[in-house]
Amino acid sequence: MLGRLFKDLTQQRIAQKDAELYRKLLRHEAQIGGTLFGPVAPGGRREFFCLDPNTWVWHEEWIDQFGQHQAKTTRYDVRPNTILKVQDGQYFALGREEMDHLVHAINTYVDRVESELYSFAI
Amino acid sequence: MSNNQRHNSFGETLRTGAEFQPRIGAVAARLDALHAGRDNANRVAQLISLAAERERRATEDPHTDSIAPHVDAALQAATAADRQRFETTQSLDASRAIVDSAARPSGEATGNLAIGPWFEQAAQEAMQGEVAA
Repeated sequence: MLGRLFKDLTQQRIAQKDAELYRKLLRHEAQIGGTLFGPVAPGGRREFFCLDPNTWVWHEEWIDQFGQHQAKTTRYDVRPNTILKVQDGQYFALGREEMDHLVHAINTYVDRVESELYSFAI
Repeated sequence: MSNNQRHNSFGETLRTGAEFQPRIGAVAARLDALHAGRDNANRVAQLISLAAERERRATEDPHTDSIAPHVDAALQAATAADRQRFETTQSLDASRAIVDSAARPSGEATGNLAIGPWFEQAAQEAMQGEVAA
């Protein structure tokens, strides 16, 4: 009885640590991804990352000309026959040029993240 | 068992046992997601390129089926494989909700809006609108 309880608690703790580490890795990847597109203006922030096998996220923050903080999250949904761009709940078809840039960024992202974060595991 | 032996045994368990597994599991899961994400995006991009090429050739010479047989086969195979993969793996999992809410601008109430049925419905409508356009 106590043994099972201890085992359950241990497994819960392992699962929590697993999820926590997964999120940390994701955030670290996002920082690396944010460096792929050149410098970010002072006060700004950029993240780009693979959320799951069908979703890529771009998050950008900047200070506009009125000194106001602005933010925009763009999600790219990879669907069976197309890639959709989602901004503020609106869906847009991806133009050919943007798709080429996205795929190029994705390939570069995977190369960079593998070499800078996961080289020990590959 | 001496205290020293007990300490070593515990250390060994930490290093090789349950405490170490999550690190392996999380890294493996991220690598799997990364590779699948890259492969999916490249496959769809290639699919769209093939479709565009097919359309271009058909426009140039509408009287013949101008697309090469191997391209046509690749297009159909990729479509079927993608559809099957998408249907079997399509789950808007918890990680999406977590990061989605974390990635949104601060102060915006997000809840779990990203994982409701509306999401799929909106995507379908967007795709239908795209086809109609």
